[in-house]
Amino acid sequence: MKYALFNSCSLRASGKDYYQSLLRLFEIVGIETEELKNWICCGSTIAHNASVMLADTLPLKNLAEVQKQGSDQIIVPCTACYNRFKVAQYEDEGDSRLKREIEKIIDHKFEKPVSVLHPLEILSTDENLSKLKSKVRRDLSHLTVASYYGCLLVRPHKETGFRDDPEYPMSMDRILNAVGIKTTDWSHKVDCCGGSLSLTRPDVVLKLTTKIIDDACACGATAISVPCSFCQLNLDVRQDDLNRLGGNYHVPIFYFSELLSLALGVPESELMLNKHFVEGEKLLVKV
Amino acid sequence: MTQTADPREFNLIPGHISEFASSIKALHGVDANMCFQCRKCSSGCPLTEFMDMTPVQVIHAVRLGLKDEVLNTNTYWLCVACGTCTARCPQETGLLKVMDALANIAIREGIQPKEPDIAAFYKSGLFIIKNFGMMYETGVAGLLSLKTGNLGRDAALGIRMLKKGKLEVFPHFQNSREMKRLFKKVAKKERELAQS
Repeated sequence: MKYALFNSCSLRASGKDYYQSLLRLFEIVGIETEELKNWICCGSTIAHNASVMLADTLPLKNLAEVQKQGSDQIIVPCTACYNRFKVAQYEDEGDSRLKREIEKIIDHKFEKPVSVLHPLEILSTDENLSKLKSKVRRDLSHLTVASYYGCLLVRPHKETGFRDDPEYPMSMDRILNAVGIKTTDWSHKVDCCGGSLSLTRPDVVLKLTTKIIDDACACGATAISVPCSFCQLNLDVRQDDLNRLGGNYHVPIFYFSELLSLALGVPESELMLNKHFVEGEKLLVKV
Repeated sequence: MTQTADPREFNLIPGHISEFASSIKALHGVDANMCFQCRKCSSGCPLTEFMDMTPVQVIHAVRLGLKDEVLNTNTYWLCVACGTCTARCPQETGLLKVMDALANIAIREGIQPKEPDIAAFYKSGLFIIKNFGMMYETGVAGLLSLKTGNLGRDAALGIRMLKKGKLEVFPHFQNSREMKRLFKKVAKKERELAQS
């Protein structure tokens, strides 16, 4: 069955590279998708500060569109959107008064819930793992990657229900291992990078991202793999800042989908690796 | 010897459940009185060193009914909603939602935000999604610079991102009429609920 695909705000701007590599990956693995058409912003980091009701209405409106488009499953690659969709569903289910009010506002009744999925959840099924294994075209075994999951996918676990361990997730590691990329054990897998404070309190963000990058390096990682466009940008661009302050940081931050696509034989020219601040191409070449 | 300030005194009624905690429970469904002060929330929070009150202090203050004290901290503005507090709380207190509730109340009551830039960022973002139907990062950065007068800081990151093609120069409209309609309907419903 075809999945609906939420090609949302950030995937059209700062996360273009993420979206591009995902599409190539889905094509190779044979995951059929159809873009959600009548979508709106889900309000992610912004709406819940101002109004809890608005914060739940916007994602549920999108989920109503999924059903109108004839699907009951949607892939949500942006982890901020993913988190917001899941939390809204959870709160809606737990509060019948809220549910009634929101259904009136969006003019749609949910007979059954839409299943909201992150690409990591789909790719890490046994079936897809063996598919990935069988399609490897390029040897990337010289890389040691720290898989960084960030916060929004895994927490609060009761609400997001992400199909993995919330304190020490392994799905991204398993996927990367399946295509022959080594991953490392490390302590900051699910720590926060400071996401929404990026513009307003760069001092805070710099401190949080430095801790993450330092720990990855200390554990032997030569690159970091992320499932989120905010994490990618934050970890990537802050190294530039650190180097301006006299640091020496050159850890490429790849989307997991880019590493997978490369391993499955997608040439670098078809991905948007040049959108990254820290250059990663040199690392990919096996010496 | 370092000098410590005299502890401040508050008028507390022993055994009394604060009205503030009750109103947060009624409106947002989170029960601050479940907290038994184990401090797991604060030991996991990545931002405590920047906060006026740690999360465990916030929830205690809510229970004590210290509304002005809590609303005048920077804590709930700095909260990045990473969810560590809520995920690890053995009492399922829902601290994340307490933080949202505090921001909601502060905005409604016109409390001067302790982190004006962060508040301005959320306000600008909300304005953009309401009018365009989707995020327009360049627009938010622009609005924010105007509001905070901090052009240099935001422009530096903006220019770097534009150079990398990571920002859109022009905005797109995405179902914006529908978005405005939803904003209006939610606001109306909230007014009704507040009055009832």
